[in-house]
Amino acid sequence: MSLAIPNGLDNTVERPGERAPLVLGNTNYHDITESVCQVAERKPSAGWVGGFLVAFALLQMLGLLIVYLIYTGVGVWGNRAPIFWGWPIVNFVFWVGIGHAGTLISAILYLFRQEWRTSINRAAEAMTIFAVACAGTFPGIHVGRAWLAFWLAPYPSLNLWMWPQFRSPLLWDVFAVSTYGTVSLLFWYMGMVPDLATFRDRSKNKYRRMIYGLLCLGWSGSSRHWMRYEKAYAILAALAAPLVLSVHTIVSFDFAVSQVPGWHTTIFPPYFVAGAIFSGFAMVLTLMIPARSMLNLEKLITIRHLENMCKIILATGSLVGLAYGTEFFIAWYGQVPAEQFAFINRAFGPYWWAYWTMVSCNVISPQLFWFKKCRTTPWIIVVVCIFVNIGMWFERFVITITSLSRDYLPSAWAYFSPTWVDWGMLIGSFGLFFTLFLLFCRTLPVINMAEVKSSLAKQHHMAHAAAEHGEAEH
Amino acid sequence: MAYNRCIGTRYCANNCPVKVRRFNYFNYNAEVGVGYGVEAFPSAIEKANRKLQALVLNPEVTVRGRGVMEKCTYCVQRVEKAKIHARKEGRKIEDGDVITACQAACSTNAIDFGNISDEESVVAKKHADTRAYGMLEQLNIKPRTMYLARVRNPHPRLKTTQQIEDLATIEAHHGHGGHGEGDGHDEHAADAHGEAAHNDSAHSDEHHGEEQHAE
Repeated sequence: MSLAIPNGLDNTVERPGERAPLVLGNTNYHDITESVCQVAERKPSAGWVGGFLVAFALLQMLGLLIVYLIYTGVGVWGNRAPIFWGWPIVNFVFWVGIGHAGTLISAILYLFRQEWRTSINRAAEAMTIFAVACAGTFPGIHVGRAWLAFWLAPYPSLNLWMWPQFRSPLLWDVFAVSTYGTVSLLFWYMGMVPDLATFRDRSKNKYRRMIYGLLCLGWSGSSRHWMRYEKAYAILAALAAPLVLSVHTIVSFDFAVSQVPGWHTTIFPPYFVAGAIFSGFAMVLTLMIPARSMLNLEKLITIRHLENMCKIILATGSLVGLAYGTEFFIAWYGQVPAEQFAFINRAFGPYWWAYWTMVSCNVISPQLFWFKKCRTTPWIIVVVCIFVNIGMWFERFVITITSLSRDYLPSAWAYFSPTWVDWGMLIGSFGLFFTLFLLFCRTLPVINMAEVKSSLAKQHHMAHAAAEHGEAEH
Repeated sequence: MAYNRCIGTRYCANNCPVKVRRFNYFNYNAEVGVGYGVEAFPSAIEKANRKLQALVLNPEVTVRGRGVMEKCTYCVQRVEKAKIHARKEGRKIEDGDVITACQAACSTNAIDFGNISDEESVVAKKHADTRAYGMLEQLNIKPRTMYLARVRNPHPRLKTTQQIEDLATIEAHHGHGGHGEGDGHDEHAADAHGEAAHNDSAHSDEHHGEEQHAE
């Protein structure tokens, strides 16, 4: 009786006493290898080539704009007194936030033994790395003298005869983001080693075999390799788990440690982390839903996977909504006039449109996920997730720009308007992200084959055990 | 402000509650009058303006390149010059040795500059004045620039007898719809105190709501 379920396509139904299957259809180990490897081995589709050309062109635009910026000066952006931080910082925080889902899925869900992470963790981790790369682009070029940005690094300098200011949150940020990027990259790469060996073994030409052979570090699949791999994976997961929470906490310190009304709030660390996970999951779903149908991976990335992620979006989205409410409550309860003004100005000042875009995208739209119909219909998920991404970009816009544009002294107030360079760099950063992601789809295993196989093994085992148990009773 | 160490994160300007900082977004000094973006193609008038702009550069001040934050230095070049003169004469800096640019330009003499640690200086005395206050002092920014509060009587019940008498005559004057029956004193009160008296907010014989800066 329980053997019948894996064949059905609806694995979102909860059956008492049974685990819902995570691999659908009569899929065996070979099918998993085939369906994942064909993504990289077959000829690129017209859609991929077109998408890559567009993304690559946008990446070139970003590169040219960076050259123009460094050659001319940071005044090519819309930043003007008193809005000294504009879109580049908004984009930085936005991309760091996007880069939260992957490591959360890989590390935290691994430690909590959430079996469903196996078929989505690889692509989500890849998105994390690429999002951190996009984020890392901005702070370096944002400083006025980009050619001296390396002064932020703590090294015994013969020019300055001094260390960087360790009390500055900007310096903590350098450490937080670079640590997170490094650990995420290592974690991603290490998890990929067994699958890279599969790629090596299936390679039909010499160069592919050589490159994948180098990358998989001589993996032979022996049980000694597996034992060490499992241990190292658990250690890296335990190292990466706190980083998921720390990196956006420290990014929020850039704001919370300052004394700008609207920034100087203790709620920022948890609020930023919840928002980051929220936006990260939304980005993963936005890309994964089209990808799973284009790459024929519906049997591995099932509706249940999507539904689980929607539940996380609903939870974190509601947390973010709670944080918006709490900010207002504390502004009123704290009785600091500048703080109170900052929040009233956010909602009803000249940037009201940005604030209410943020609230409707981030708080209202994910509430659709209370309905199972919405959680299990891919196109609805994509629409909601795009709204969430827009909303989360606006959240950073609202925090950064409305707070700066009107602080203590009305004589110093101003209204921000972006320049064409601001727009170009925002769009160009998407070009960087998609270029990397499309290259990843074509060259690396998009799904963790080894882990999906192990969860398929458990699934079969449980089904057999149930069947035998049933026979024994009769 | 150590310009040589500044890499231009602009975090200090974000945190500056009085927003006095300005940033060198472009290489204003070396390329005065050079336009960027849409301003790269100036009109004839704009070109002439840019030539004029070059004249405002102060030869006494070292110039900062782009990407560096700027802040008022209290005319450090004038301070240094005065210090050198004073040292040569073997004395301390006195009032009047340093006249900052803003002080020299101020037509109402609202600004004083001097040595705060010298208790006899004008600024030290004005800092000790009960009227002295710092802008946004509640943020613990410990400003050296202090302002002198306007002299006024915020509490109507604490008015002096003279003020009450003056106000009574003005009100009486107005109450009668300008019948012109008042005596000389009446006329004088209405003329001399004007709006200040009408507003009931400020009544002072010498300072008509003007604020003084003491630095």
